[in-house]
Amino acid sequence: MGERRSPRIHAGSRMKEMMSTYYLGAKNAADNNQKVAWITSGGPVELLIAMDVIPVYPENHGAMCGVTRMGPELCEIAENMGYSRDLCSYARCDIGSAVTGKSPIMGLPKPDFLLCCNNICGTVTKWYEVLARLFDVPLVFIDAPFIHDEMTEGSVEYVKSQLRRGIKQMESILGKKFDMDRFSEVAMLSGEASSMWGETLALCKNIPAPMSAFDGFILMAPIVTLRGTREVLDFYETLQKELKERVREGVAAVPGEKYRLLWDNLPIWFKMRDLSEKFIDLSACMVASTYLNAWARYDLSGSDPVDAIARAYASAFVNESILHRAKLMRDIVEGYSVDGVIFHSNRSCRPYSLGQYDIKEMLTEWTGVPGLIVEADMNDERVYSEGPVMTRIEAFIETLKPRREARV
Amino acid sequence: MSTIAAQPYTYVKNWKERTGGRVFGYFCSYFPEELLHAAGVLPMRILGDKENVALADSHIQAFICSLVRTSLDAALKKKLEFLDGVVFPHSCDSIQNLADIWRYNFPEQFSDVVVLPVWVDVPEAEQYLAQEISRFKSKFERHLGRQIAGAELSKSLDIYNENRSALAALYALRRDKPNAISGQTVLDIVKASMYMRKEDHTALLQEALEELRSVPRDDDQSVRLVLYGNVCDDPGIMHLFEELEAVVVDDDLCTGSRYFLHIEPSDGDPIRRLAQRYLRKIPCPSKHSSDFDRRTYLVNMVRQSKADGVVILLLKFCDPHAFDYPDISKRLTEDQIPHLLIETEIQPASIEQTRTRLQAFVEMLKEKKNG
Ligand code: SF4
Ligand code: SF4
Repeated sequence: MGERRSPRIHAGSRMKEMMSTYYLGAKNAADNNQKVAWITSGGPVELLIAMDVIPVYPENHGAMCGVTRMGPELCEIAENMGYSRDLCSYARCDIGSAVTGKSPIMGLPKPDFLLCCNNICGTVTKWYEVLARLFDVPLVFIDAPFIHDEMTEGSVEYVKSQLRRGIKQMESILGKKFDMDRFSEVAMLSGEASSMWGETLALCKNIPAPMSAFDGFILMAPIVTLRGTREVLDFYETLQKELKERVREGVAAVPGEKYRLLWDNLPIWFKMRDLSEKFIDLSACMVASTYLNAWARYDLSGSDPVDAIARAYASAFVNESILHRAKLMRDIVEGYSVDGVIFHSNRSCRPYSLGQYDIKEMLTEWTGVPGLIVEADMNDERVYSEGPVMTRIEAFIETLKPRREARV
Repeated sequence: MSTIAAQPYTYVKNWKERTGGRVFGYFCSYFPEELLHAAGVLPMRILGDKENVALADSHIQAFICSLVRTSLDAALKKKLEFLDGVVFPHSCDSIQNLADIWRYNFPEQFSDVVVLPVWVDVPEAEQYLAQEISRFKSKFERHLGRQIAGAELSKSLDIYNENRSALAALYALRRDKPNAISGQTVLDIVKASMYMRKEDHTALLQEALEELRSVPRDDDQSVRLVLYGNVCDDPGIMHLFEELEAVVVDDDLCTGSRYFLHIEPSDGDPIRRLAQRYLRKIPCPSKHSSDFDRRTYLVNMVRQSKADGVVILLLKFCDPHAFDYPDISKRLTEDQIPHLLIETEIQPASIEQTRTRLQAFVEMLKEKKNG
């Protein structure tokens, strides 16, 4: 057995600094006369940045709570308030943290208003309704109709009207005018960041992959929280440089990489390290994840920013049919030379998980690549049983052997 | 009508044989079924299946609500083969993904999703929904090989509204004379309306209303309950109320009043009217509304029906309702309205625990009421 850690990615420390500065800024917003809005991870943050509002992401905060293993404690607080144990554990953690101020960073700064876009799930609609009542603050809501077949022009128009409505609402909340030129600029930056993120991920098409999805889950924080700002571009540029260097030198994220895997759904935050080590032991590299790729899909080119934002956000990864998702996964399987797919059937996230059985079948039929479904939860350790998950992963990798050997 | 409610598929199959017509299955209370009706198709609500899940396990995880799980299971078991099509509205995440799974597994069947807006009370939602309904209409017409005339649709809207008024009258009568009709019968009547052509149902319902009107009012002191929640299709629970001598006086259930309340003005462009109807109905928790306050609505319902308490029936794994529950409960407590939460499943489970809890609840209400 070789090294049990991936070689360190140096850009990581730069990211830590960036994120601390960002959270500190958010915490001190009131003192600095700045407004804070809580926003969903798939929300059009460009609106906020263009208005100099500090965006705060309960989902990113939720991930922090998960990684630091505070999930169960925070969930229980919400459960004692009557929130069912079956609800999304991000929502439970967030509600638990919002009412007690508990979290690895002592809670999030209170919002001046909320921005919710339901392009990721119906859960956020309900969760933000709860927050709006809890904090008694305005809710800017953007309803992005789900796409079962094709995005209709009627739907784009609908989203655009709401964006315009949202802009007006923000103008009245903040008492200042919305600057379209600034918005255009921010949307452009955001689009650039998204494609840079995509390019960064694509470096993992190289064999061996210079980075694993486990690194990606950490390094994604800026694209999720700070897209639309310049520093994000600089950051991913640095990261890309480092990874390209690795590719040139043949440095592998997983030393002795033998198997290449695709991860579907959110990470299991509280098990990141154990799982990452497990895969290193198995010489398997998680070369891609649908979750990471979700932020690489915002095409924000085009001259009318409202139109571009409407189209990009309405066609978010989890806002389209499972058939569409399966096709994107096929592209990843082919483009990244994937040997097997691991589906995290995430109890918390019904829209992302329901349909995985059929997607698995489609993928195997189209590409011959097998899949494994493991039951877990991104934040709630109480529903996770380690033994069976690890055993099944081992057994699955074992079945990949003959195929892999035939290929080499 | 209780027979139809107990054996809906038998009724529907007979209807099909009798008339040679087509039947489409649909989900939730949000599918604009008037369109199907206008084309002579019988819309039939799919409300899950009482059998335990066998085949759906390899498509749907155990943490999805049993309405979704058992419905797909019934289809995979070929229990729904008599359907000529299956259509979905956009409501919750689970129905949304079920639609995709269904369409993948039954590629031969006519199927479509009418993607309703989630935000129901902004003006732009109406424009969008009208377009979305028109899109579905064209696809449906191509499938049928015939057009649906505006006049036909208007007529169906009127027929639906008549049925809704009749159901609303039934609820009003029940509020007034809850002893005249059991809670189960009322839910049966609503359920039967989801399986019959509405004109046939209205005719039967009118007769029932006549009878009810002639029943004298009786000022008994039974405990009066309001039911709140999603689907309630478990006769076991309804019979408990009778057993405990509590009467149901009103409900806010998706298989109850939320299915039919709200009647549209009777003129104007029929597509617009249709869109308005689904946007203005009492919203389900899966919809977002800026103006509608479910807590106040429920409190008012309790006050108007002079209820003593609320029984909240929630299907396990139903996110939209589970998110609303704590604040609803809090508000009921603030307004001193006793309430009890009962978690349900579509497949009938052992009723013992429910009986014990319900009994304690009703006893408490009795004492409170009679001092
Ligand atoms: S349900 Fe899924 S997409 Fe929605 S907030 Fe939870 S984890 Fe995110
Ligand atoms: S019961 Fe709840 S989760 Fe199930 S289909 Fe209805 S709204 Fe969706």
